[in-house]
Amino acid sequence: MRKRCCSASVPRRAELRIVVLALAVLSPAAAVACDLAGLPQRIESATATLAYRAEPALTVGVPHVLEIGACARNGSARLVAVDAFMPAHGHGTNYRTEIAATGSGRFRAEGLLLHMPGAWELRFDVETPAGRERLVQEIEVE
Amino acid sequence: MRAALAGLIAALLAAAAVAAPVRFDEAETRRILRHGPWPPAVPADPSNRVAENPAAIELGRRLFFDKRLSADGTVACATCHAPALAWTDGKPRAATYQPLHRNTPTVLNAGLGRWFGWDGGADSLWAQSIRPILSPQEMGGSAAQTARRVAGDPALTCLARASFGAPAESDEAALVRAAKAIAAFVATMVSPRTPFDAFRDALAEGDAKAMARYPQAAQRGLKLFVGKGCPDCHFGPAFTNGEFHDVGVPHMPAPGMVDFGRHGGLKILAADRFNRLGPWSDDAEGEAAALTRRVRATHTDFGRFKVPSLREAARTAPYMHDGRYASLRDAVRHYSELDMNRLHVHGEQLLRPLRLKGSEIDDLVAFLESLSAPKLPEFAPARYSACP
Ligand code: HEC
Ligand code: HEC
Repeated sequence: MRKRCCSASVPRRAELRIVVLALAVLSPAAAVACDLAGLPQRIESATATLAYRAEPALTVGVPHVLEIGACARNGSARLVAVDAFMPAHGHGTNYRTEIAATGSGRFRAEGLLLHMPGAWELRFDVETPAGRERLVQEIEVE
Repeated sequence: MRAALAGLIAALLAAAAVAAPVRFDEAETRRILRHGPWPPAVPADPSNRVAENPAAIELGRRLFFDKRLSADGTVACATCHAPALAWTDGKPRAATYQPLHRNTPTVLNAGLGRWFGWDGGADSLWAQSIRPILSPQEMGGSAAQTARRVAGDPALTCLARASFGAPAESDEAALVRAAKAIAAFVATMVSPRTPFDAFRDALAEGDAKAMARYPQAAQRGLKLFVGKGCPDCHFGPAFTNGEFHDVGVPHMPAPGMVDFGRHGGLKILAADRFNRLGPWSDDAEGEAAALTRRVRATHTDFGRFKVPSLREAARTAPYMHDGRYASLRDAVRHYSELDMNRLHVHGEQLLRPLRLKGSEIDDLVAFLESLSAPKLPEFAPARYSACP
């Protein structure tokens, strides 16, 4: 896998949902302890940080297992979906990725299969006290 | 005088262009190396516990050629997948008892696939093998007939016992066993190394002398192949990503009739009680079954067909799911003259008519021809010695 964007930590296309702003007021001020150790790939937005490690390293044509950690600025974050999309081709993957929580803000996503070489968007949907948000990383696989 | 000089220079340049060795930059080299090494290991099929059993492979080989599995004793798998025609029937569309609207693909390298049939309606080689036996259009057989055929022949019974142990408890069990044995045989059919593979390995090792043995036209064709995006779909050692795409081949096999492609295949798969999630799988919970569980319909499935392997393609004419092209040249020309009107609706957004020059089409064809071995083996394993 080769990353395309200049900086991995700045998602270029995080889709923030402003509709749920009102909820944010209710969330606790203190940040919840959050462990992203050992997860080399990182994506950040104003409200959440997500990190993952892919097994095997992201490539074409094999199902991957992703170990994922998700944290919210204030409160906990829950990973609700992992998906991938090829913007230039206008299609995503042909398989559903299965997600299970493994405790302490960690998740395991199984079955991500990138079936073509080229530019993909990895899309992680998380729920934080601030609402549902999509964190996106652009990658290139060969 | 000027014109003559310009003509001379042009002629010299053309000559130089013909003679100049084809160069591959770093990105092209990486892409080319992804098409090997060859041959690869056939992935295990945990849904078939006899997938690697020698007795089952021999039983499967015999059943593959056995016409007595058919309605009137005239059709075997090998009738449509004939060894002399690289395991195809050479026809545009298959026809035994009744004409089908699809081309017969080769079974060479089928064991490397994830899905089977042009629409991927089967998720294992054994499920794919059950279909033609039962189909009244193809072999018109039945579970009971298959059970009788094996039970009535001492050699087949001996091989079945060596493969599975105790006799099958029902006709359907006997059918599934026959199909699993056939699948074990089919999975052994990996095509041999080709001139392309020798070039690819020489490129990996930087062995210029060995690389030079690969014809110039094939080298130019290979450069076009990786440069024009063909490996987006014809990816990896088998030259297929194993998935489904729409390259603008029409899917109206007859007036008023539509071949739904992957859209229909997913429905067939879900309804198939012989799929990897069903009671006949030997591993309904493992990773193999996970693919069947996770596969999902998408809004672009309609009219998508499986990306065929390009290995041995020079031997498997005619081409495409409906056998519409008689030659590799015609198939390449398809990409040169794509019908964008059809593609805009369902097709791959990146595909554009390539508008290839005649010489470029020649080169691509020369490259595709280099994906065939000089000769195919017979895939006739030594007789399993414990049975007659
Ligand atoms: C009437 C001709 C015919 C007969 C007989 C026949 N096949 Fe086929 N075979 C086809 C056609 C046509 C397809 C494509 C089917 C589709 O797209 O649904 C196919 C597809 C396949 C495939 C999938 C190949 C791939 O790469 O997707 C395999 C494997 C296969 N057949 C094995 C067999 C076996 C084993 C038998 C005997 C039990 C058999 N076939 C009998 C015509 C035939
Ligand atoms: C978007 C994916 C995609 C791309 C890119 C692509 N192909 Fe294909 N190819 C397919 C599919 C899918 C089929 C089968 C289509 C059908 O039958 O409807 C096919 C069929 C073929 C066949 C016929 C093989 C057979 O056994 O029937 C040849 C030859 C071929 N492609 C060569 C090429 C070449 C050369 C290129 C590059 C110029 C290319 N393809 C680019 C997906 C692709």
